[in-house]
Parts: sequence; structure tokens; C-alpha cells
Amino acid sequence: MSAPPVGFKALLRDLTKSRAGLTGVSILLALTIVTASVVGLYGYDVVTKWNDPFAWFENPRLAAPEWSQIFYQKRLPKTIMLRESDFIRSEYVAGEESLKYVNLEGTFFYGYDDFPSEINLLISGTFGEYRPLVKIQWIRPDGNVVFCTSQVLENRNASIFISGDDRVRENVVDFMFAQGLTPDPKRVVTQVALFAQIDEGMGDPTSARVLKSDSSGTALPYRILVQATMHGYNETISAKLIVYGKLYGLAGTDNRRRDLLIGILWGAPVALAFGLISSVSSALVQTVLGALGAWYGGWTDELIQRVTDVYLVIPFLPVLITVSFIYKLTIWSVLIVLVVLSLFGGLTKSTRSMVLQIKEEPYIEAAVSYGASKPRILTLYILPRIMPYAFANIVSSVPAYVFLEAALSLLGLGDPIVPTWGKIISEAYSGGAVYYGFWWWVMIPSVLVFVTAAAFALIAYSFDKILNPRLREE
Amino acid sequence: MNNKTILSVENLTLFYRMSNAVVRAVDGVSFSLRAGETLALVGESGCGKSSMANALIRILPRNVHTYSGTVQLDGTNVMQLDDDDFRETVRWKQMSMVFQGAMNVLNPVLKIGDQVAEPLIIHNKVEKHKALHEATDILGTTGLPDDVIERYPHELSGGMKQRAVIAMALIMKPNVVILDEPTSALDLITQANIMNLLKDLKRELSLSYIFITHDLSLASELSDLVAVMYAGKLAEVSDADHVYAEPLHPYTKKLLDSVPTLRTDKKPEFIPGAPPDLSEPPPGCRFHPRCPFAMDICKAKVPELKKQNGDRLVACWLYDKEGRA
Amino acid sequence: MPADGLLYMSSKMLLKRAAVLAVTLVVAMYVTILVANGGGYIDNLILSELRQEAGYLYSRNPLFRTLPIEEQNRLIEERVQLSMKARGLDKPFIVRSFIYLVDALTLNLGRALFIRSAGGSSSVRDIIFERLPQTVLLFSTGTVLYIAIGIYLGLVMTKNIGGKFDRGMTMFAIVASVIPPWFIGIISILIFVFYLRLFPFGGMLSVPPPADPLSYALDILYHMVLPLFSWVITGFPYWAYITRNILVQISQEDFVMAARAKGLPDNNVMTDYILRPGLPPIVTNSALTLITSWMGAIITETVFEWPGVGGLMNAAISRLDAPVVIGITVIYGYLLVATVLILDAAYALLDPRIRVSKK
Repeated sequence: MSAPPVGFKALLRDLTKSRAGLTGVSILLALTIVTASVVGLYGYDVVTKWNDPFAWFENPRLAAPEWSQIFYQKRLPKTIMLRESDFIRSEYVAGEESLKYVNLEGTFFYGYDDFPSEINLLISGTFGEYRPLVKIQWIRPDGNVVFCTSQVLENRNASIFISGDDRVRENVVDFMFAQGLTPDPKRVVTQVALFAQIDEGMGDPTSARVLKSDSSGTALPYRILVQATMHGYNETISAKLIVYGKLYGLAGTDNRRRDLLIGILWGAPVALAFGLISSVSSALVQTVLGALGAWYGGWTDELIQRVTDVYLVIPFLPVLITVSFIYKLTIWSVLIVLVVLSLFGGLTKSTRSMVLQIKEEPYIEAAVSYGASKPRILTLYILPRIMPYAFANIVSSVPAYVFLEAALSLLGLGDPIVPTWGKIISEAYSGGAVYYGFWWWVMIPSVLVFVTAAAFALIAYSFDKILNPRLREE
Repeated sequence: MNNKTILSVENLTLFYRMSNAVVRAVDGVSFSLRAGETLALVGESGCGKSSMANALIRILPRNVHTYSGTVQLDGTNVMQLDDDDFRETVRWKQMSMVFQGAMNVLNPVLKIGDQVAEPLIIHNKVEKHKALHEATDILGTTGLPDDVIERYPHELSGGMKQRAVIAMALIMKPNVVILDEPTSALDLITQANIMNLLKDLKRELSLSYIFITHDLSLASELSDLVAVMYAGKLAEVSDADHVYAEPLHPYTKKLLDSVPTLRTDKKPEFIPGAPPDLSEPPPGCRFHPRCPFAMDICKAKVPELKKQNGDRLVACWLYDKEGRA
Repeated sequence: MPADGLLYMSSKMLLKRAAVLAVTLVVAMYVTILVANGGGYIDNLILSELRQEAGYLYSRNPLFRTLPIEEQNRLIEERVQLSMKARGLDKPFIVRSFIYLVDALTLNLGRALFIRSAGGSSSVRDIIFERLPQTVLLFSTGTVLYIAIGIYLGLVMTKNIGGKFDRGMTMFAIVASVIPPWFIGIISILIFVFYLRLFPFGGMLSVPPPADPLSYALDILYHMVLPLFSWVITGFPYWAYITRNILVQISQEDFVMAARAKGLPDNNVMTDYILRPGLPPIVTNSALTLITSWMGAIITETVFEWPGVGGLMNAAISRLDAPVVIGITVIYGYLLVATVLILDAAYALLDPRIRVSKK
């Protein structure tokens, strides 16, 4: 059939001929496009946003992706948000020196089969010396009114974490007692009880049933009533209600409410860049060194060989771990350390034995005899011959480096700031995703890592076919 | 010398399937061999002579397109045997092969003695000790010392390896021994030694050889019969004396002309053109593009091997007057 | 040349090789020690930690707070110096690094700074060896398993070159070869433990461990299933692939064709003419495999909370316990060198061409 291709272009051509190679290359192409667009559209802001806890406030925590609804029988809720303009406002002032009453009423329908994950009410007000008194009531479709809480607003932007606030919870428990129920106060969950049908099961999240009210039917909506008593004519408040759902976006959210899609999209360029830079540099250095040693022989060769041996004996991973830990590295310094640790390796040895063989070939001898200089022969004749093998090595080691970065993240040694796939997977693991079943948190980045690795592997597979045709006897 | 015909080949055909063509390596070859006789199969590289050997001993690659013909060995048509029977009854027992020893034909991790004795142990179920003993004997016959049975192939020189390979082929005392270029990779002195060995063995053990080579002069040393092969077909089959003195086929003439001679001043000639592509052989007589005597009929019809001047066979329109008419 | 002549040649070669490896080991050890101690950087960290510790200790003493500031600082420093001396940290780093090196090479691994073994010992050797059997148990079993499976499948692939199994397995092998075992580990925990509830979450034994030996052994086995599964499934495909490649290359050699011409049955050809000459490169490859498997162990053990040396490494690093980190690295280094030596010897035994090559 054919001798191995010489040079880069020939290699690329041969590569796209096979099905496997084509698949691999197309996956990579898709990834590169995503990468370029993400970097172009979002820029580095993503990284700052990723680490800013306040940027994600409106997202639900640990929500599954929206499309995963098909796996669940119950209709899971999406986040319902009532903005300040959605509230019906009525203000009443008796006179200039008297108190001002502000009423905010929010209305929404709730037709899901499952309860919200959290409920939060954000109140912002403008007031002077005297802080307003705020009373919150929850009006259910079945007509019942639940008194939630009556609090003094501590500062201009306060949030009353309805689902988490203990006072609200106590009031909800009281409400349940008033209905003639006997719930176990320790098991009552506010956001469940507020939405649950009034029956014995109301006090237990596992047995409660949702009191549905959807806009299609004749049912009444849910209403939240915020009544503020303020001290000044110019003072006012406004409110925002977030009823957090259990579904969000394309990739769900993590335990810090972050939209995983963003982290994952950003992870693509990082993964690619990391993998490519480390594998290209180490392969290049190793190949050139191996070739240099074999071609020039003598002390050069001995030295390179001995250093390679030392490198091979040093336990790579423990050293990498140690260095990462001591120096608290960012992902790019990890990259540098990685490259330094990979300057010598197995590829040096195999390139060396290849070049030793090529050296004996007649056309090299001929070149020497007509006066071509040693460096010239090396670059023009020898390096193009071994390039395909170096290339194959690059391709098959990219996934290894991507996984290495993920492994470091798992050990807690990864970059503290930049979101990478490895970081997401490791956060998922330590956040208990495998133990509590937040499958999307682990699986989506894992699938992406896997697909990327597989793409490179497929390319490596077709490389193998090209470089070793005799092994493909069919 | 026993004049019984022990090998009779008729219309042996072996085609290979390549990615987009069919290679007609052996195209209807027929000849016969008598006991104690040596047939030399001569031709250029790529004419199909090695394929012929493979066809006889049924070492076929995976991409076989056609494999047919009749091979009568000691009365049985071995082509009709299935693979297992062929392996058990024919291989090495009736027909063995001597490869180029410089080829990697000896297993590097087994000792010589074990490899030579192996056919006895496997085929004849001879006990190992006895088999090794016989191996030592036959190795001795080929001129190798006793301790060779403990050696590994890489410890032997080229000539020694070739002797070992010959011994290995002879251990079951087969009817026919095919020798595929047994001396091509050896230096001239060793070559001479091996040729002498082959001659001695032939005499002592009354062996029948098929001696495959590209070297005409070498063939002349050993053979009784010479078959000239060209592009997958036999051009001429004659007894040795006549072939060299009076070659019939134009190709044979050209071959002889290209051999340098020691005693005269005649310059060796070369044959113009190149051997044809076996996947697309020329129509009619395959030699016609290079033949100085080519006629119109040569381009159209394939000449058949026909008797000429007694026992000689030649496939050429120059001699086949009936076919031409 | 009689057999003992052969042995003489091989042992001389082996000695030379061992000498070279020893030098390599020493250099590698020293580099590791330098790195593991952060070139002295760790000293500063430990110093500040000790200072904090001393400060905290003293601040609980009401009398201490009555002393003037200089007196307080002096006492703290004194205490810090004492702690340092107790841990042998008072000599300058360069001197210490050579002491470490000599100790490392003689396997005198010293005392851990903070970690203790289950029995309370602070000897690094005790700490490591306490954990070593578990690692050996899990990863040796796994590695042997997947090498065996891999070689067997490689044989099957060779017998049916170009067939569906061959091509499918090759593709599977190349893809699986880039996936590390801990990755499969995480996913298999999700699937088999969370969803299917078939296996435990991690660790080696249930709590409380069963009393009788049989149940105890079975309990360990039960906990080994998932880590073994991850280890084996990522290991055997590549092995099958390289075995296949080696064997296929050999099967195209002339002596295999000659063996068939000799009329040998397929089984004999496979065993004596393909497998046997293939053993040397297969054995060399297992050297590389074993070496990389010790490494992969660290993360895999972490994911499965397996109480072995890998998990210990993780803990030692978080705890900044340099002697333990160095100790483990030394052991790794020795294991590597030992493996390489053993495999060189095995290679020489298997391939007669190597033995007499230095003539």
C-alpha cells in the first residue's frame, strides 16, 4: 500500500480518509468552533462571574437540566420570578406627618407536580432613620391565608429567606396546627407546606401533595402580600419574589447556583488549550531531543539518555502533586510544571531508535557524502520522517493531559479560579453528586471530557492505521 | 534411478485478489517430475516462480482469487484434499520446502535441534529423544557438527543456517523437495558449498528436487530438467543439456545471452523492456512485447505448451505450426 | 558453551544494568527530595504553623497574658525552636537534604511530622507499610487480571485478523486507553451505587466489619468489586491491542510461514511460533504497565476511599507532612527500579538473542 506519510499535510490528508479519523476530526472541529465563539462572545468575564457568588443569586440550587424532565414522572417546577414591576402596588398615606402604608401584592399560578426548592423574597426600600415594619402573608388558592412573618427591615436591601427562615417556619407550623393537623415540627419544610394540599401528609415532604392552581382552569392563583408600615412620605419599598424551581437551563446548576452550561462552555477552550499545549510541547521536545541524541551521537546522546532514565524513574504523579500543593498553582503554572516534567520520556527513547535506523539508510549516507551539513540533514530529511509518529503521540497524549488536570482538581490542587471540566467534576464529586444523585453535575462534564478524549482517540486510531498498514491486513 | 513419475502437475492456477485487480501469478502451469530427477524452475523476479512453490505446498495468503488444477503426488490428486488432510499427509511427509536460510525461516526462540526434530514429533509421533537423535544424524549429513542441536539460530552463520534448513526439509524423507532460491542470499563460496551438498544429497538419498532460481548457470549445475517460466506461464520445458545448447523459446535464448561467459569475448546482452504486470498481462503470448520474433498471431492467441523435438515442451508460435494455420 | 557460561554472561550484564539504574535512582531521589521539600519553602510554612500553635498554646494560659509583649514573643520563639529541634528541623536545608538522601536510600524513612499510624507510631516506615498491603491487594489483583484478559483477547484477535471482533476491539481499545480508571470509578459509583444500590460507597470494609474470617474476606471482596471493575475495564483493552499488534507482526514473519509449511497444526504454530517469540516484547510492555499502574492508584484510591498508600499520599500532602511524602516517593522509586530490573532479567531469559549479544 503506502509508506508512512512524510510531513504534516500528507498526514492530514490520509487522516480524513477513514471513518474514524473523520469522526474524530469533526468532533474536534466542533469543539474548536464552540471554543472560539465562547471566548469571543464572553471573554474572560466569565471567569470573574464564575467565582462571584452574588452573580447567580436568581438561579435555583442543584437544579437538573430542563430537558431531563422526560426522565421524571412528576412535572418538576421551573423558577418563578416576580419582579418589582410584577407586584401590584398600593400606597396610602394619611397625611404628611403620618405613617405611610405600602401594599405589594404578587400573583402567580403553580401547576407543577413537585414543590419548589426554595422561596426567597427580596425587599429593597428607601427609608430614613426609622426602619419600616414589614408583614408578609401567603394566600393560597384554597383561600387559606398563612401568616409568614412580621419583621423590621434591617437595611435597604434585605432578603427574607422564606423557605429558610425559622420564624416563618414556626408560623407555618402554627398554621398547620390551626387546621387541625398534628405535624412533627422537625419534619415540616416551609416551601412544601406553603404549596401542599391540606391533609395529613402536609407535614412530610415525602407524602405531601401539591395544591395546584394552573392558569387554564378556574383555580385561584397563589398570592403573596407584603405590607409595609413606613415613616416618611418619600419612603417606599419594592419587592422581588423568587420561587426557585428544580429545573434550570441546558446543563442544570451546581450547589452554588451556577449555570453549569457556562462553566462547561468555558471548560472547552481550557481543556483543549491545556491538553494541546502540554502534549505538543512535550512531544516536540522529546522528539527533537531523541533525534538529536541519535543523530549526533557521542556525549550528546549519552547525556540525553541518562537524563531520560532519571526522568523515567522519578514518580511523575507524586512529584506533580507535591509541587502543585506547595506552590498553590494556577492552571497555567501547572501547565508549565507539567511540561517541565515531561521534557524527557518514552518518546525520546523510541524516536532515538527510529532515527538510529534511519541514519543507516543509504540516502542519508549519500546526503552526507555530497556535503550536506548535519543540521540540514536533520531538519530536511530526518525530522519529516519521524514527524508522523510524534504527531500520533501528541494526539494520544492530549486526553491524558486533560484527565491529568481533572485528577489534580479532584485532589483539590487545581486552579482555584478558572472553571475547567475537571474542576466541575471534582466539585461535583466532593459536593456529593454521586452520593445524592445530582447526576447532571457529574455526567454532563464527564460526557464532554469523554467525547473530547474519544475524538483524539479516534484520530489516534486512524493514525495507527496509517502508520502501521501492515498490521491492518484484511 | 527409478523412472516412475512421482509428481504430475496439470493446469495449476493461482490468482491473487488485489484491491482493484486480479494478479495472475500462476496461470495454468503443467509439468511432471520423475523420481530422482531435478527440475529447475527458472525465471526473472516477479514471474511467479515463488508463487508456484507456494501453490504446490498450499501456503496461500488471505486474498486468494483462484486456486485450481491437478497435482498428482504418488498417485493421489492432493488438490482435492481438505486443508487438514493436506497438512497431515502431504506437508513435509511427501513434499517439503527449503527456503532461503537467510530469510527468517528459523524460529529465533527455539533451538535448532527442536525445530529440525519437530516434524517427526508432530507427524510421526516419534518420542523426543529419538527424534533429536535422528535430527543430529541428518544435520550431520548436511555437514553440521553434533552440538548444533543445542544452538539457537542467531548463533549460526548464513551457510550453517542454510544447511540446517536443508536438514530440516529432509528429516521426513519426502518424495519431493522444493528449494526456493536456497543460495540467493549467500556469498559465492558458501553458495558453491551448498550446491555441492545438494548434489551429494541428491545422489546419496535419491531425492527429487524442484529447484527454483533466477540464476540459469546455477540451475545448470544441478538439474536434469529445466522449466523456464515467464509471466506466470511456462515458456519452455526441456532437459538440461538441450536447453543450454539449443534453446527453443526466444525468451530462453535471451536469458542465455544475458549470462556472461568466462571463455569467450561475447558481451552479455540484456532483454529490452520489463516483465509485465501480472494483473494485466499482455494479450496473446505474454512475451510478445519483448520478443524479437513476434508475429501477428503472437499478439492475439496464447500459445500452448506442445511437444517439440522429442520430449521437449515449448509454448511458442514459432514452433506450433498447426496452431498457426 | 555450557549453560553456566550463559548465566555468567547474563549476570554480568544485569550487574552493569543494575549499577546504571542505581545511579539513576540516586539522582532521581535527590531531585524528588529537593522538590518535595519545596527547596526549603516548606520550612517557612512549618515555621509559621508552629508559631501559631505555640501562640495558641500560650494564650490559653492566663499568666502568659500578664507578661509584657517582648517576653511573650521570646517565650513563643523558644517554644518554636524546641519544636523545630524535636523534629530535626533546626539544621539548614541543604545539609538536611543530603541527610534525607542517605536515609532514603537506606530506607530509613524517619519520623512523620504530623501523621500517625493506626497503632500510634510516627515512624514513616510503619505508616507506609501499614497501608501497603491494601494497595498491593487491590492493584496487583487488578493488574494481573487485566493483563491476563488482555493477552487472551489479543490472541483471539490475532486468530481472526481483520474480522469484526478485531476491528471493534481495536477501536474500543484506543478509546478506552485514554480513559483513566478513576473516571470510570466516579461514574460507576453514580450508576452502581446510587442508582442500582448494588455496591457500597467506598472504603475496604463495612462498619462494623464482620467477625468471622470468611465473611470478613467476602466483605473485602465486596468492596473490591467496583474499584477492580474500573481498574480492569480501563486496562485490558489496550493490552489486548498491543498484544495483538505484537503477535500479528510476528505472524507475518517468515518462520511462521515456514512452520505452517512444515505441516504443524495451528495450535502449535500459535504457541511456539507466535506467542513464544512474542513474549519478550509483551513482558517489556508489562513493565511500563506496572509502572504507570502504581501512579494511577493514587487518584483511584482517593475516589474509592480505599485505605492504601495512594490515599496516604493524598493525606500527607494536605497535611504538609514532607517525610511521609518523601517516604512514599522513595518506595515508589525503589519499586520502579526493582520492576525494571526484574523485567530485564525476565526478558533475557525469554529471548535467547539477548543473552549472548555482548560477545
